[in-house]
Amino acid sequence: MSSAEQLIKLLDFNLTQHNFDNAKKLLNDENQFGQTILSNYPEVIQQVVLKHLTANNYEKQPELYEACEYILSLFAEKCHQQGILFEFLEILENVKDDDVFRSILKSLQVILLKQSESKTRSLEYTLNSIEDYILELELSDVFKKKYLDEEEEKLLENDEKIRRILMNYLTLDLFYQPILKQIIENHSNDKKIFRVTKYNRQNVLFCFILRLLGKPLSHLNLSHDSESNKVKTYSRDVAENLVKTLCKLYPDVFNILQYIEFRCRWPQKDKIDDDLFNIFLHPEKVPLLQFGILLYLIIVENINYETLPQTYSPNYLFKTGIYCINEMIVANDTVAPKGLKLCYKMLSKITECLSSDELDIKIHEDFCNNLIKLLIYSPSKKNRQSALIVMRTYILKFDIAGRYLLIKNIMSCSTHKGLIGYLSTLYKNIILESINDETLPSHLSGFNFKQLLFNFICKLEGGVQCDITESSDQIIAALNFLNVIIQRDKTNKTGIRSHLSDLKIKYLCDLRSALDFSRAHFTAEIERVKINVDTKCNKQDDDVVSNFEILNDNAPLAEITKEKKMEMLHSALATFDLIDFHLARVNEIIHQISIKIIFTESQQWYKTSSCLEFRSILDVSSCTTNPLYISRSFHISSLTLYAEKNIEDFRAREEQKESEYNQQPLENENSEKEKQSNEEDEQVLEVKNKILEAALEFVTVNGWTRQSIVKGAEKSGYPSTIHGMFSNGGIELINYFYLKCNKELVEKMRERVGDENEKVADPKQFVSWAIQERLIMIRPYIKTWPQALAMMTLPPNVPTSLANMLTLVDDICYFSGDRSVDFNWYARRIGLATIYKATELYMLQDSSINNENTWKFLERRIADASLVHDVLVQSESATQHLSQAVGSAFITARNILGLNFDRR
Amino acid sequence: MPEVIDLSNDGGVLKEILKEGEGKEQPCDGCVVSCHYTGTLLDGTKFDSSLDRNEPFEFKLGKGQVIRSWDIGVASMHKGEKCMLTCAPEYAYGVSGSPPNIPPNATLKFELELLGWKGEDVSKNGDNGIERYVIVKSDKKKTPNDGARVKCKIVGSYEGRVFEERDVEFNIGEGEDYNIIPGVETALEKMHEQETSRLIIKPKYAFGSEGNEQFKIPPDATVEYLVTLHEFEREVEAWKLDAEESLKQAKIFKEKGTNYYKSDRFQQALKFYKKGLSFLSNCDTSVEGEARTVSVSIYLNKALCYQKLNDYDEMRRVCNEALSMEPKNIKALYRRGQAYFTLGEIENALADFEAVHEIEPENKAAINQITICKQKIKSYVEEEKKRYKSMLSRYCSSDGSKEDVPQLEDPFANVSKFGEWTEEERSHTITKFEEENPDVILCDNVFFKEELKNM
Repeated sequence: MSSAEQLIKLLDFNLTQHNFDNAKKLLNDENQFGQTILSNYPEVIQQVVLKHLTANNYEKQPELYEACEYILSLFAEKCHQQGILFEFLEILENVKDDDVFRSILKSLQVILLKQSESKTRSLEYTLNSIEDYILELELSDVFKKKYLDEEEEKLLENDEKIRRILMNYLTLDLFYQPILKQIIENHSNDKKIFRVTKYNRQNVLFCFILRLLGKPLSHLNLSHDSESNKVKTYSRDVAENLVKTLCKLYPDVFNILQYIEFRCRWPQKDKIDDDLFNIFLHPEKVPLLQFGILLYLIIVENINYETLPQTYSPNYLFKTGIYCINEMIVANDTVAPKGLKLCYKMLSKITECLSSDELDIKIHEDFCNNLIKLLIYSPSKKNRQSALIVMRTYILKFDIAGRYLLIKNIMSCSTHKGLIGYLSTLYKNIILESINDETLPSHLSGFNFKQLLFNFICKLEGGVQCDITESSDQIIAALNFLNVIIQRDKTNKTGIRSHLSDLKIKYLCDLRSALDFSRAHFTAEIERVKINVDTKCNKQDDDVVSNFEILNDNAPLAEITKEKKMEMLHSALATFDLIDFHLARVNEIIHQISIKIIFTESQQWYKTSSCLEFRSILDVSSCTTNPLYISRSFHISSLTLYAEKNIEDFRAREEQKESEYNQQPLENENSEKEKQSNEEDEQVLEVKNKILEAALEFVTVNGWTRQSIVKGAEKSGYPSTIHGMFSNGGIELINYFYLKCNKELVEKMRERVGDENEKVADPKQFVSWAIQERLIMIRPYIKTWPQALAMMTLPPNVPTSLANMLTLVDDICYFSGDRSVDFNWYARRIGLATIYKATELYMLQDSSINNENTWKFLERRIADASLVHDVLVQSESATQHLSQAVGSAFITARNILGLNFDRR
Repeated sequence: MPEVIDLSNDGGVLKEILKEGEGKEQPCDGCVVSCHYTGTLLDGTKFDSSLDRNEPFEFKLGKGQVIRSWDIGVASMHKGEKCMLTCAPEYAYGVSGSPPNIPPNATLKFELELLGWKGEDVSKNGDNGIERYVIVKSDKKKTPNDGARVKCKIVGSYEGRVFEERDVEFNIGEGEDYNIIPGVETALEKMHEQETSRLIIKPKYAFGSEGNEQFKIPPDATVEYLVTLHEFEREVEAWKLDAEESLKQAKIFKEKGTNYYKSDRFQQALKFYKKGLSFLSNCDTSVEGEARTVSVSIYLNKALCYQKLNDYDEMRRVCNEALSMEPKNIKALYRRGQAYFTLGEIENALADFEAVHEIEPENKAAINQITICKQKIKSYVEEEKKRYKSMLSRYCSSDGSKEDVPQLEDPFANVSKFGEWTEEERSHTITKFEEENPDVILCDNVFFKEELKNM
């Protein structure tokens, strides 16, 4: 047995027997044993120290443990540096226990402090081994299960595993602080002009601490509300410490962003050279994610922000920071929100527009793709929402060209219909921002506008056979887009009015058919489900209705109950109604525009040509418009109206009409009425009414035309020439009918309500009943009613028609018990008018028996309206989407009424 | 009292020199400059200072890295100069400020000392092997991708002596084949369109330890290059491609295709024409303009390629594409005529050639083609005539010889009384044809039946 072995045995014996003094003596004996032991340190450590240096001993025999620690530090102090370092690193690799880990760190610190600046490598190896240990630390299982809110995240600190992580971070802090101090002191006298970026101890240590910001710390909640007096969480403490240390090592951390940008734009093609001259160009030494966390802590959490240079331009910080943000948002669900917050904060600091030239750089494409992924697929609702906000802010921070490019490109790389719909709305808002300018930028008009309109906004994926339920968001947004842009862009700045016929052919007609298909399919589906409910009751069969994939292919079919299914089917039908309604609106507007065009064209035609030929006007109509779904007879009938007038008659009224035209069609309806009543003798009025009443009979055959009036006159015994009394032709017949029905309705309502001062029990039901009654009156004339509608929308007829409409609505409101005079007065009437008008439009194309579908439609509309009303009353901060919907409903209503409601 | 210089010409950035610098040189765009500064608000509150950090502040000049007043201010300084910059809010943090340190709408004062600068290091591993000094700046952001074709001018000099000067076009990554030193190639990847830069290249990225005999470059020599990047190729799916740029790219590809065409590599040429057209999808070709002209000419070139490849169907198709944009394009009409001609549709070909002739009455080629077509048609008609004649004459001769034979071939010969059902007809079985066409009844005639069986 050699002397060394003997000594080791002796040492071991002393330790086991708790003769610590003896052991110490043995080691410190300079002359004899000490030297032998020190020169045989590997054996001593392996055979003696590690045996006793255990977690168990730390708790039960602290003295023994301490003695072991002492031996290690003695070795670190006295042995050959490089050798003992490797010995320790080897131990570190196998360490499983935090206490032992700490002990080793203590000794490592001693060694590293003794090393000179040139030993960068050994510092790096040591730090790498330590990092490995930290990375091994387990995170709490909680993270795998669900998504927590902020407060819950903070409570996690009580989790044992997380506490262990934080303990280790504190240990590390104790470990590196002295080393850091030494390094900084060594460098304090350097007066270098440029920052040294090569491998040195300072930079290596910086990179190590930076990497500590990654997993597991990055998963924890690091926020702190400085306003409240709450105590900082431990994780926040740790994070603050790390950031402060990093700022000591590299006072201007933003400077590193340039290297990050450089290496991301021009990545190294070959294997990365470990001997990089600039350590910050190394993707593994300065990882993007961790650097992003650092930026997050500085910029969002305001740690040490004030000590950093304030001279950087916010645009630059975002343009370079986006590389880190990009990395953060693809990370897991606890890091991604930090990335989003960072992105939002950086964007909101930007003062000048970002140039569209920036989009040349690929990172924006990657960033958008990742953002889209997050906002569509993230399982956490909060993340999806904030991703959407970030995307919106991001797009709006660019100049107009940039916004256009972003919208276009995001639309082209995402198939999510809701997103496309959202972006359509965004584009619409961008256009509206500058719609009042003299000219629109090229990205909001002309070819670019057309491209976006046809290729993305108004595109029916899959054509007529497309699934409407899936793309309802997109469709509604598109229809809303058309509606608003066509109306607001009166002078055709965007060029939309030149595309109307294309729109009809390429989009609206297809949409119409698709809608009809889908509705038929769903109605059939409802029938089927109903039948199956019956069979289930009879047979006690648990069979689930198949063929349900149309709503959601991912949802497990078996879990859907019958009720749920019906609910979904009905909600789908409601969506169809909504689309139907919007579609009708858009068609109507396009229609009005084309009528206007025809009207002006035919007017010019009257002037220039003396002969009046019916056919040639029809030619005008066929070249300017395409037939629509509501009624093909629209133009033709309205044109016959003009064609039938003889030319003298026309010329006589020419001037009067023109002045009406210039004056805005909307005249005060009261004065109109007065004028009428003054002009016309009561007796004449009586005769007129008599004739008109008789004329109604012929409407079904001859339409709302002079022809019917002539027939009516004949029938009631007046000469047929008397139609000259009715200078306005068919429209007078319509007005008469309208007023007559209004009167009848008032009678009916009065009957039902009884005493006028009594309130109705259920206003909703009453309103629904009233509208239904009123619509039933139209029913006999339903075939020719589109013609009447069209005539009422002709500019000269608008004031009277409007007055009639408003009287109707007002009457219904009055009898339903609404005597209020507040703001709701307007809202309610406009809402009701919307419902009435929508239902009327719906009825035109309803072929069901007794118009049952129409009544259902009406009920849904009324239910919707009260829902909207409730929301408006309950919360002002309704979600954006809903408020948009409400907004558009009001605009639509206003448009239907053809006025701004402050006029009345 | 030191003089106050208005650097922005609107009083937004004012400079007072506190200590004159040395030399005449000033830092240029892209240089890394280093300075010490102390920033204060007008009320004297210090909000930021590099001295507190005990480290000079470093940034790249003229790249928008810093607030605008700094890019302007520092560019006007000399080495060692010390000055006081007064920056109006619009040249600093604007209306919103930068909380918490800088309040909204704040005018900022900076005491600045320029310590020095160096060229931008564009080498891949940051060893300062390639230093760049931008001479002519470009506002474009895009840089050539790996493998992209670049057109540039390079001027190499060593100790003031120019040793090479040439315009060169090559693909990034293949510079070696064109005797481009690695340093220039690496730097080109970081350059923008229309940029000119001076490059100082260490031997490692230049001619190495061997030097270059042809250029008389000794071993281990640091050389200097002046490089201008004229243009480079872009990918089609790039996000930011406006109509103008797309058009430019389409032209590049058209040119490339034409080069291949000239060297008889038609497939290759078609590939490039296709790429060119896909760029043009960003442009509005529905109205007259350059985009349409280019697009039409690409289609026409494609027609030529297909002609060489004997694919006349395709040739006709691309001509139609061109004609859909310009219905009166002579070349398109002519080429479509040729395609029709080869496809044997002589009448169509004639129509096209005549259309050409109508637009351009003195077009010789068209006249020739018309004559050829007419001849062809004539000979065709004649041949047809001949054929029919012989047929007819044969028929006539056979007719003559069989004149006395009862007209058995006449289908109606058997139907003696029209409108009456013969016994035969009543018993006739319904054929398949009749089943399918209930309103047709066939007379029971061998001739008809045989004929219709196969329908």
